[in-house]
Amino acid sequence: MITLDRFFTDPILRGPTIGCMLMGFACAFVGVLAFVRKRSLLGETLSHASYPGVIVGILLSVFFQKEEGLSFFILIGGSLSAFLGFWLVDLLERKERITSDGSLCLVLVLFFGVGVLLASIVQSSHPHLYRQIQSYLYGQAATMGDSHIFFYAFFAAFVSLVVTIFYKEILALSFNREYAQAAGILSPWLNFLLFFLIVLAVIIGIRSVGVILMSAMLIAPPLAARQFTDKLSTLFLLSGIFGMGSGFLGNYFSLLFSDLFSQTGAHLSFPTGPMIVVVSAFLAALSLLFAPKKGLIICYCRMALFRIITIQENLLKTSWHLSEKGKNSLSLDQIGENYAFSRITLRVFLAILQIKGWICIKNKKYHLQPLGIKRGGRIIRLHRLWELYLVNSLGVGVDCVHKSAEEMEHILTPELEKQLTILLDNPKEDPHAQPIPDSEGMVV
Amino acid sequence: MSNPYTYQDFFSFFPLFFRRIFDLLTGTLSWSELASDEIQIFALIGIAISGGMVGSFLILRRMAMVANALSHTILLGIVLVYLFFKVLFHYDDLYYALSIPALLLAALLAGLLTVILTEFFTHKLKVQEDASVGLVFTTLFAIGIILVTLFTRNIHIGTELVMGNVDGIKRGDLHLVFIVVGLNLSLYFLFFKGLKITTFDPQLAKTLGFPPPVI
Repeated sequence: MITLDRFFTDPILRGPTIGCMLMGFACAFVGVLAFVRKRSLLGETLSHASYPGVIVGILLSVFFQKEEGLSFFILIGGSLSAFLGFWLVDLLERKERITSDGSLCLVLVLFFGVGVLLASIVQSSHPHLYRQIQSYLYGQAATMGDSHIFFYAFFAAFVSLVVTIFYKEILALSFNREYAQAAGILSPWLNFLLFFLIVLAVIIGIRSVGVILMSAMLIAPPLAARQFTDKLSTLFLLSGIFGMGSGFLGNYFSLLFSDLFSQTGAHLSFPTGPMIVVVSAFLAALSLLFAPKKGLIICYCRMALFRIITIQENLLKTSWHLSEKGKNSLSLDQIGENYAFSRITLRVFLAILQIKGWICIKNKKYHLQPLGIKRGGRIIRLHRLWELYLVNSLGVGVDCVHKSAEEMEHILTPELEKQLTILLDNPKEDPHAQPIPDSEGMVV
Repeated sequence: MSNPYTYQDFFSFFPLFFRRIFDLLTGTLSWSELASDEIQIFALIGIAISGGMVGSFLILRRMAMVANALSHTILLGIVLVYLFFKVLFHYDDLYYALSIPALLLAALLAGLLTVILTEFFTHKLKVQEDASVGLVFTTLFAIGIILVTLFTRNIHIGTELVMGNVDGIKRGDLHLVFIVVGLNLSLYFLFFKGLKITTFDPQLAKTLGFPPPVI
């Protein structure tokens, strides 16, 4: 079994692990820039566009006999060709008025095609280099060493420093272009700097995750972080943490699974780069489903809970109306008369009311308890207050207000109730000449 | 049968090629005598025709990146089809997984999966469309790569699909490529009006399952 600290101390493991974490951090940080401007697919195009440059870089570094470590030439080559790609996309979109997806796709295919062509030329001329070129396609995290850690740490620090320094400008640029233009913040070179950061992140990422999967590292962490916050600074931070987390977990799981399978005798290796991508996508999907405020499942639960509470309050209201007419002991059929529930469902809901102490059961008859009378009165009060408000303040016809009040009676908060009471001068009667219970829920 | 193009340089290739095409059309040269270069050229022409036809609609619908996404996720489809054959019929030969009928099945599978997932992310989870496309296809591709390395221990299949391998095209495949082109053409003419009208309707994504986007 592998212990967690081994990932940071073992000389073979710490290179890929820490390297991938720093890569994840830097990419996620920069990914926010692309994400808030709705240019998420730009990363995809730029990472593919860097491929021919990387191949040229590999050839050059071999030419100058620098086979080991992270070659300077690969970085420069990759950045230059990614920049060329970015410039071309920009040109196509602005000058030729080609739609953004069309130009992105065209540049992607063009550069990647050139890359593949170069790769197959190299395959026949320098067969021993072909493997290294291929490793940039899917990434090869396992061979990263300590030198990569320092290198990536430097890049991650640089990226976060730039974002921190220009935070205000980024905020203005991303959400209010007109304002940014008017305030003189939108200088072309700032825009250039931001795209430079994206190119940089792509170049950092291709070594570990690969050209093809790189863009996921720019998209998934910001997407996951977005579900938890509305604030840009928090978004940057959370996204960075998610990126780092997926970098670590990707390494962890790839080793863990390989280990588990090797115990059963099968020698399977789980590639690290794709594992990181899958983990980050999994994190994004989890946040999309279960984030406390925006998660889909959470929203469904909240809606279901609201519906259940509405049904309970409606049943209570029915009992309140009946007991107001002098019927104190109610049968199941009397309460359920206007509801399309089966008797069993009705019993379950009434049992919940009983648990809440709103009603009690004696001899198969239901009786309202003092707590239920108070609570029911309050709902009626909200209903009638809202009807009065609609008629008096908004001028809605008396006949049309009931439906709206049926919904609002479950939504109005005590604060709104207070406001309405003040606004309507503590009214005693609703537009249908029915008495409005007081704030204790009692009819005077 | 020897290849007539052996030792021909770039410029003498074309006169020979056109002469042979002429022979083919006049019946002096039979279909079975086609050289592998000609088969490749014909197949690539077929792929270009079908790609171009579908592509024009994609550009109009601003779905070019979706096509890019589909061409990535087909890898997962191929792996699934391969596993399916392996489990059901014990075919352990990669040839079956890379033959064009299997590719069509894989494309259909992957296309449906991608479109359904992307739609789910965009409409149910309220994600920006480009982000959901980008996330879905990279993830499916990553799963594809993991499965490829796990089950075939042979990254060759992955590389071949990413880079393409024209040399792998056989005469039988040529027929299929042109069946697909024919299918595309006939669908195009049959539903041209419909396609024109629904150009802003994502239904076309389903027809995307027909052309083999990467070979």
